[in-house]
Amino acid sequence: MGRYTVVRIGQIIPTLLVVTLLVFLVIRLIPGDPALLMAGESSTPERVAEIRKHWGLDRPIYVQYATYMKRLLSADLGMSIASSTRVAEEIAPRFLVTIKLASFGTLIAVLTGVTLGILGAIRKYSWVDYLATVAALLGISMPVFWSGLLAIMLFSVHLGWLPSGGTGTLAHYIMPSVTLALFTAGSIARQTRATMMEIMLNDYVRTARAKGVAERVVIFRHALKNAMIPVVTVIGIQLGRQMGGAIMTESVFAMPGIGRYLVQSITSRDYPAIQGTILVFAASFVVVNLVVDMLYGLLDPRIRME
Amino acid sequence: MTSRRRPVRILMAATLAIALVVLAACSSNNNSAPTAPSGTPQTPEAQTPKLKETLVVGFPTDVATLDGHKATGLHLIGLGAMLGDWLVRLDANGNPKPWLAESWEWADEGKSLILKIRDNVKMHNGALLTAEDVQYSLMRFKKYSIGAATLGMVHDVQVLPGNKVKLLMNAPFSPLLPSLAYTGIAIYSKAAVEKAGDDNFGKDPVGAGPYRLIEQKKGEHVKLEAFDDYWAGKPKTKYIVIRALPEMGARVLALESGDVDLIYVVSPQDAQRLAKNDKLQVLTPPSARINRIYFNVQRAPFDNKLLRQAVAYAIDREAIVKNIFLGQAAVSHSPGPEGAFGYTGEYDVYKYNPDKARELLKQAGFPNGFSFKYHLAPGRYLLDQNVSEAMKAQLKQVGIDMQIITMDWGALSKYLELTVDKTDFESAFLGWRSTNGDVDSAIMDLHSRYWRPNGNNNSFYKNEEYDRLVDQEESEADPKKREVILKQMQKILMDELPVIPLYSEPQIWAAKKGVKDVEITPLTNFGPLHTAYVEVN
Repeated sequence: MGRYTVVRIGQIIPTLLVVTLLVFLVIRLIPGDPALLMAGESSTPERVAEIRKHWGLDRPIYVQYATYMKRLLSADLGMSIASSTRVAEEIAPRFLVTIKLASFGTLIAVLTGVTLGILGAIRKYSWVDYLATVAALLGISMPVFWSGLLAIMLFSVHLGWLPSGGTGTLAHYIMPSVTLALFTAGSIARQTRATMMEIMLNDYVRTARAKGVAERVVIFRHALKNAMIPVVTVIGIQLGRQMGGAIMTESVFAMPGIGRYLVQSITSRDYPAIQGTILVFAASFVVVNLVVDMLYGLLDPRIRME
Repeated sequence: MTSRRRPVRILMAATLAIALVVLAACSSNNNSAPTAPSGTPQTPEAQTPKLKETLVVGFPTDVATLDGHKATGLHLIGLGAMLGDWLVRLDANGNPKPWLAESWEWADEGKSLILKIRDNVKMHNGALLTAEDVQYSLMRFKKYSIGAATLGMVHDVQVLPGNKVKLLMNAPFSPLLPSLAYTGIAIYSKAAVEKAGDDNFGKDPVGAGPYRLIEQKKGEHVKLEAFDDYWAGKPKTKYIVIRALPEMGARVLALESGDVDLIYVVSPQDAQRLAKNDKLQVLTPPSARINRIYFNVQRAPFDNKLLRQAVAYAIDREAIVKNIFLGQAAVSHSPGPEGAFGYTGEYDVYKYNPDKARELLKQAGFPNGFSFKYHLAPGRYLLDQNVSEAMKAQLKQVGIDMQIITMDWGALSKYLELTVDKTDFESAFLGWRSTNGDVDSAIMDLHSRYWRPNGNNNSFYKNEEYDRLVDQEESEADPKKREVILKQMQKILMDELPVIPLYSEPQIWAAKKGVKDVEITPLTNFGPLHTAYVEVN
C-alpha cells in the first residue's frame, strides 16, 4: 500500500509536466494575439509590437516556454496580461469558490444519486424506481444554464428566498450546488442502480438473507459496499465533470470561480492566466483520481495487494 | 469660456442626461399619499423620499482593471475613467462643455489648443489637480489606450503657466475639442501613477472623479465610495457597488429579483418583458454605435461595386430592425450615426428591393447570383447571429449565397489584421462608432492611410477624392464648410459602399423605478454619476 501510494504520487509530476507543455502549445495554436486584443481595433503595428515585447511574446516559443518553466519551478505562475496581476493572486480566491461549489455539488449528488439508485434497485420496476429513473434522466438531460436560470426565476424572482447570484454567504451556494448536483446525480443513480441490481443476485446475498440477516444489513453491508467500486469510479469522473459544469454554473450564478475566469482568459488570449488555470484544473483532476484509486484499496482489500 | 469654440450641435452627443421621470407605484402597505412624478409639485404633502445608501449596478463584464487608459472593454474604460474624471464633456446638443478644463482657446492657426484647467480641484489623495497631471494623463492615454487614435493627431502636450496645457498638432484638427470628451480620456494623478507603477495603477486608481475605489473582490464586485470633495459637488449616493454579471440572463434576473438596481446591455426581448413590470423602467438612450458589413473592395467578388450594391438592395434592414430588435433599433442611412455633427441620411437609396438587386447582378455578369464569405464573431454585438442568419435568408432570395464563418473575436481580430496582399478576407459584420459626436470619427477610418494593419479600414477602401475630403474636413475650422464636406464624404461612401451601414445598435438599460438621474452616454457608459440616486419607495 505504501509503495503503491508513493508510485501513484510520483506519477503526478510527469503528468503535470506534459500538461504544461500541451497547454502552452495549444493555446498558441488558437488564432488570436493578446497584444492585438490589448491594443484595440484602430491600433498601430508599433503599439502591438510594443505590447508583445513588454510581455515577452516576441521571443521564440521555446524561450518563452523555458521562462515559464523556470518561473513555475519557483512556484510562480507569471503575470496576467489582462490585469497585470500575479496569476496566482487571480486564481487563489476563485479556486476556493470553485472547490466549495464542486464539493457541495458532489456531496449533494452522491447523497441523492446513491439513495435514488438503491431505491431503484431494491424496489425495481415499482413507481419509486420509475420516478428515480425519470428524475435521473431529467438531471442528465437538463443543461445547467437552463435549470440554473429556471431556479433563479423561481427562488429569487418569484419567491425571493435565495440570492440570485454571488458568493457572500452559504445561502449563495445552495442553488448553484443543487443545480450542479442535478447534472451529475443522474449518472450516479443509474450506476448505483445497475450495480446494486447485479449484486443483489449474487449467492452471498442470498446466503445472507437465508441465514436471517436483516434486509437493511444485507443492502448496506453486503451489497452496497461491493457496489461502491464502480460507483466511486463514476463519482470520480463526475467530480471532473463538476469542475467542467462549474464553468457554466459560475456564469449563470455570477460566481467568481475559476471556470468563468478560464473562459474570460481564453477570450482575451491571456496566455499566463490560461496556463495557470488549466494547470490548477489538471492538478485537481490528478488529485481526485489519486483519491479515487486510494478509495478502491479501502473498499476492496484485494486491490491493495497489487 | 474664451475662444473659437467649435459648435457641434445636433442631438446624439456624447452625453445625454437621462432624467427619469416616473416614480415607482406605491406599494399597497404604503398608506401615505401616492408619490408624485418627480418634478411635478401637485402633491404638496409628499415628503422627501428616502434615498438608498448604495446603488448596485449589474455590470456586463468582469472588472479586470479600473485603469481607464489600459482597460480594453468599452464598459471598463468608462468605469475606470469615471474614477479619474474627464477634461471636457458633451452636452445634450453635442456641444463641448467645460469640465476639468474650464475654458479653451485655439492657437497657432488651429494647430494648437490651449486648455485652462480648473483651479482647486481636489483629487482622492488630497492633492490638487495640476496641469502636469493633465499633461501626464493625456500622454499616458495616447500610449496605452485602445482608443489612442482619438488623439493620434496630437503629437505633444506642454504645460503652460497659469494651470494651462497646450495640445500641439502638425495640422489643424477641427473636431479635437469634442474628441477630448471621448470616454477613455481620463485624468489621473501623475504622482499616484508613478507611485503605483503603470501596471499596478488599475488596482487603485487615483483621480478627481466623484467616486473612489474602496473594495475589490476579484470576479465578484467592486465597491466605490462617494468622494465628498468632488469639485462639481458631493455625490448624492454614498456607495456604488459594481457587480460583475456578464451573463445576460443572470443580469436580467438579478434586477427582477431586486438584487441590483440598474443593469445594461439588455436584449430587446428582455426589455419588452421588463417594461411590463411596474417596479422597473427600461431606458433606451441614443446610441453612437453602428453595425456594418465591411467588404474587401480590393478582391473579388466585392471589387465590383455593383455586387456590393446588389447585396445592399437585397437586405431588408427595416425587417431586421422590426423583427429582431422589436423596433428598438434604427436603420442606419449613413455609416455615421444619426444626430452626429455632419450626419446626412439623404444618400441612402438602398431601400429593400430584391428586383433591383437581381438587375444589378445581371449587369455585373452574375445573373444566377454568386457566393461570398462572411465573417462573424458571434456575441460581440447584440443579436449579431440572428441578424446574420436573417441576412443570409434574404440574400438567398436573389440567389446570393452568404457563407457565414464564425470565430471568436480573438481569432477574428487576428484575421482582420492581415495585410491586403495576404488576406483572403471578403466581408465581415463589425460595429463601429463615433467617439466624439461628430461623423468624422465614425468614417475617417475609410481613408486609405488606415488600411490594415495601420487602422480600422477593414475594407481596404481607397478613393483619392475621399482621402482628400477627409484631410480637408479635418483641418477646416469653419463648421459650416466642414458640414458640407462631411456630407460629400457620406455621399461617396453611400454610392461606393465599402461598408453597408445596417442599423444603430440600441443601448438598452433597465432599472428599478426609484433610480434617478443616471447619466448615460451614447457610447454605452456612465457619465460621472455624481447626480445619480435611488429612491426607496
